[in-house]
Amino acid sequence: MRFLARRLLLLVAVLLAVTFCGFSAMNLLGDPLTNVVGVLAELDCDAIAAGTAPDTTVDAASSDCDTVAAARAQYHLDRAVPMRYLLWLGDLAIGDFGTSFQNDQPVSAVLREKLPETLLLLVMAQIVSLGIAVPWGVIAAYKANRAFDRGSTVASFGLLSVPNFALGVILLYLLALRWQIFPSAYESGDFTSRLFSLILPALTLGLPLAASYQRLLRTDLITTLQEDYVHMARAKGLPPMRIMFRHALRPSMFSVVTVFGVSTGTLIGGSLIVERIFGIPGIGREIVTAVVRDDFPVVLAIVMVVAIAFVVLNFLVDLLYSWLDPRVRTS
Amino acid sequence: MLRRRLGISFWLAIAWLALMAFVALFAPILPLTDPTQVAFGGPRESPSLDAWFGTDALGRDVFSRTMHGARISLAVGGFAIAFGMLIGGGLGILAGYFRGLLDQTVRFAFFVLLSFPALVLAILITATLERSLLVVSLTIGILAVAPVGLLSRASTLVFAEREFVAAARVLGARHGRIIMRELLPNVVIPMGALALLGMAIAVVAEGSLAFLGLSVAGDDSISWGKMIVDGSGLRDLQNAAHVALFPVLVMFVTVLALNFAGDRIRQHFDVKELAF
Amino acid sequence: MAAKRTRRRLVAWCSPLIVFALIAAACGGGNDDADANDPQESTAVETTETTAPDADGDSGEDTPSAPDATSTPEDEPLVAPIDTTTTTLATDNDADSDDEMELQPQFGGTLRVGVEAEGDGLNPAASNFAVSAYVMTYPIFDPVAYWGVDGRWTPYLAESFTPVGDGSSWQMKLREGVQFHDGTALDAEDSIATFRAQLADPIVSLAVRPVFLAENPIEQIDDLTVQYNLNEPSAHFPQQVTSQLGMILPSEWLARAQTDETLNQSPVGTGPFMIESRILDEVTTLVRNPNYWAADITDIYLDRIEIYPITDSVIAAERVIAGDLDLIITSNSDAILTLRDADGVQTFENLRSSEEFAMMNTQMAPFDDIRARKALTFATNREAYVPLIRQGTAPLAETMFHPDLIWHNPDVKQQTDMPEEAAPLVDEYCGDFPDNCTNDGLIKIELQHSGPSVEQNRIAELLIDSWEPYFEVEVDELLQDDHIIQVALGSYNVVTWRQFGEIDPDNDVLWIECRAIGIISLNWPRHCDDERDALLYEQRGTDDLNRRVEIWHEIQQQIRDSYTYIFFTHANWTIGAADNVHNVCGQTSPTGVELFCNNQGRVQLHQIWLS
Repeated sequence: MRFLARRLLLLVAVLLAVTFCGFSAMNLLGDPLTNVVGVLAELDCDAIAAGTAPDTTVDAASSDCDTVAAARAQYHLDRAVPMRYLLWLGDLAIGDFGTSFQNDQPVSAVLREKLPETLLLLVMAQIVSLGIAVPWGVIAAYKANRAFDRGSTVASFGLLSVPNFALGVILLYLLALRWQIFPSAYESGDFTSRLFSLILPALTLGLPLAASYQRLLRTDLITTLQEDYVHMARAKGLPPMRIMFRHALRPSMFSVVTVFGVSTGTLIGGSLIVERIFGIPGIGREIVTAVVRDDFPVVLAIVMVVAIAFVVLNFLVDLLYSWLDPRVRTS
Repeated sequence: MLRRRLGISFWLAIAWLALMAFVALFAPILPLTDPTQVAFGGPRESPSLDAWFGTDALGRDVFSRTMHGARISLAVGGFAIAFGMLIGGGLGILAGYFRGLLDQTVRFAFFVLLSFPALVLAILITATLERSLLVVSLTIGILAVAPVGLLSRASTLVFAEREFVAAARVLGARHGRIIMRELLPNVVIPMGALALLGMAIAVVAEGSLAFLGLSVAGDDSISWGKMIVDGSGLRDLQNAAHVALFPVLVMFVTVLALNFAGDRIRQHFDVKELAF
Repeated sequence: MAAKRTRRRLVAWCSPLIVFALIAAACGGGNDDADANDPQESTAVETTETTAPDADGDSGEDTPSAPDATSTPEDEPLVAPIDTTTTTLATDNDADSDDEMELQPQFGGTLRVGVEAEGDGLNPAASNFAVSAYVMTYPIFDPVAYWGVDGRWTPYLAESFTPVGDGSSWQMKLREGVQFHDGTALDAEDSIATFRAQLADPIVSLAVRPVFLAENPIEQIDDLTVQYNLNEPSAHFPQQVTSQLGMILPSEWLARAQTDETLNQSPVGTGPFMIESRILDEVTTLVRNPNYWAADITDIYLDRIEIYPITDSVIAAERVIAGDLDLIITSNSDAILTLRDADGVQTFENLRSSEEFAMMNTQMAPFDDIRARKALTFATNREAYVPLIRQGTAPLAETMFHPDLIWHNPDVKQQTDMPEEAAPLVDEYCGDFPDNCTNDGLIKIELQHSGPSVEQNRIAELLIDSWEPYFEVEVDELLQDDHIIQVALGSYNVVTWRQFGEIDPDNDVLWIECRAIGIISLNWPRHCDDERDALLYEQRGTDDLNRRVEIWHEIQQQIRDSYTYIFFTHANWTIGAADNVHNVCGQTSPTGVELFCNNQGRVQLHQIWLS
């Protein structure tokens, strides 16, 4: 229990630190007032109020300065960054993520719309990669050090060496344009057409992951196959594939499970690229757009959500791990 | 002995990397055409004797550009991993050696860094700052700090328990001396074995940033990532795939060589995998 | 709350640099003389045909346009028709004409449209509209006036426009019995409330203020009539209200929108379609308005319109070809070529709107000195721009007017591609201002462009390749928002840009008049010429077409001689539609006037039908 409490505490601390860093970075690197009011931020409102500003027809009048003042008040821009952060946290505590600068939408609505697409993509990518990695790893382990295994080592190195933007472009070119098997872009509409249009992006994300899963699985399987009970099963004359799937596979999934958390982080990074290539309206594409447009309520919210997901997932993996292996708890 | 164990394919990989490094260093004085010269040939011409990799949308020589592109790609990769090793490795050793509050703080910082999705952190930085070679390298370097740091901390923990460190301490050696003389060589050298693997990741990260349009800016900043983006519009892929595919190929072979050589070295020194 | 929108809005219109032109509210009647010589006015698509119910030319028409029409010397249309290249599938080839004859307009169906960007907000009083916002909102609102296919304004939601006196004031009479989507009746009050909201908006107003009197810009005459009071007499004021400035919102709705910004995404108008749902960056769905006021004069065929923002236009084009979309609007060369190559797709290309160019800031060194501006112009390799950047989809531009337009002055040529002329100027300049030059005698400049964008990078690299011998160029790639802000504030040397191209150039005056110079400037190069301003206002005040043409000829000369812009191409705005999409062009106003189609990509969707 104490262990759990400590981990939870750490989790909260990490989230606070992550958001604080993100918040400060966006406030200090960019100019929040410009982000909110644009050119009006450059107005010399004191001079306008005092009537000493050069006057021109198209230029802002005092009403524009009201706008600027309203923005300052709304975003607490007169206060120091740490204070602003606390106010932001306060809003967050009552479920208010703020409003997008870009289109006045509540950020929570943006998240509600975009998050499911990305989740679906990530889940599909994991399914694709496991679907490929398990049979691949099993066969490679079964044929360890024979031609197939050596070939598959080269292949997995190859897959791990293709940057995902290049892989996406190549798959798009071959499977969508050349052979027209899959659609070249995301299709909104009913669930099946969405799923279908996500296959190619999931493949782009999943293939390199499959290669790394396969390598882990193969190594673990080879070790497991040396275990006594496997020898025994073999001695009993069970068919080799049955031994693989019924006896050896489960205990060999351990490494794959442990990297599951980390690999999800990698996948989220990859989704920035892949969602862009295939035009998927998920949080990956959203955050790139938001960063490029300095829409920092959206950026912060997404960073926050992703960090939570990442930290929680690793937390769960750790729990699972420590439950499986009690020694971890004491360290 | 070493040669036999590493195998011929390792040396092939090293040879490729050496070639790329040579090209990167000497591209400006090699007999290559001017990579920024517009209309060297017609736009999007197929590979020929004049332009081995064909020409791009502005009629520039793709071969020459690919060779020049090695400069930024490898420089960013090299700088980034050097930075990661310097900062991450250093912090990791200090944390592992002194333990206590320092250790907890550093680990916490690493954990926070790791909790940012890597690419998100990178675009946050490069979108707001001027995208010079230095900024991009440092940005990717920062991404390497936490994983390298955790690794060096872990192996410091192991070595700090060893007899020779304990002996040095008993003999009254200063902390600084122990770190420099005993730990540094034992921790960093094996980590160096991971440098190639890390560099592979950094080269790809630069490409990803370039793909999002957030890598090194400027008209003479040619990188493989930028070239690939430039050639991977759908129509270009259909009609002039060579513009994107040649840099993809060279980048792929380079990353493959880095991964392959790195993995062999890792096995050779029996170092644990570097996980980003 | 209002604060937040501001910047985005400036950006929104600026951003698609493209779009610019619009705000000005202007839409003018660009013309070309040449409709006759237009070889391509080819085929068919010309839906002139069947569609429209024969509009009963109602009474309104004559009266209002009278002042205009009469003064036009000839009857020739002012605007050439859009080229319609029809690449065809079976249908068109078979027999365009028969085909079109045989086909009866069909009711029902959903039109799926792809646009290049999301329109960030759809409230004409608070959001600055780019092409996509126009495509989404024209079916929701009926603008008070719109462009006829001849390039002249024609009343639309308004019954008539009447000049008062010398044209310093104009009265607009709205139609009776028009209902908003929410059931309230349209009256003068709504028009005034909308106008005031636009004037109160910090960014939308930038474009409005120069046109109207500061004091009492609008007043109510009776329940349905308002009077606009102008800064300068205008002979064709209604042009200014063909854009978002001519869209009217219910006054009660406006009051609510003040406090609830989410309403900006679901505006209420009087048009044939209403917003059903809107998921930003994904899809905006419009449904037919069952109580459309003009239902008995204008047939509305579609049940629904779905508009998808798709940033990669080539993908959008591929989807039209694959049948996943019915119509897209694009200015992307690759997408245009893809559409042209495809079977079963019709394209409507308009090469005569908006120009791509580089412009220089005349209020900052080194381009405050005309020698530096001249040198940059001379050094520019413009010849390569058309084949390398535009791949032949857009023609080289010599001035802000396409040669087919009557405004075009054939004697004005851009003085580019003559680098040898640049050298002495650079030497001379560097002799006078060594601080602005490198030690090797190159002028130091910064080229700013927006990004990340593959195309913008290519343009920059192409330009720098030709400037390098005389200039030391530093590239500053800024995010689009910052790019526009820097330009608006005048903190740049040279930038690449797209603008102009209104149907009538009077609506482009905003970008060149002295009045538009300030802390925030819409006259981006900040070049002021009082003589030019006098000419600009003279042409605004007259409908003597010959005189106006003469004036614009002179203005083009002056613009060239000021060396503020280096024109590259006339942008190509293309509509690509599947062959079963009919009546893209050839739609009519409530008074039966055929409407201009594809004005810088802005196209009306609401009279389209599908077969």
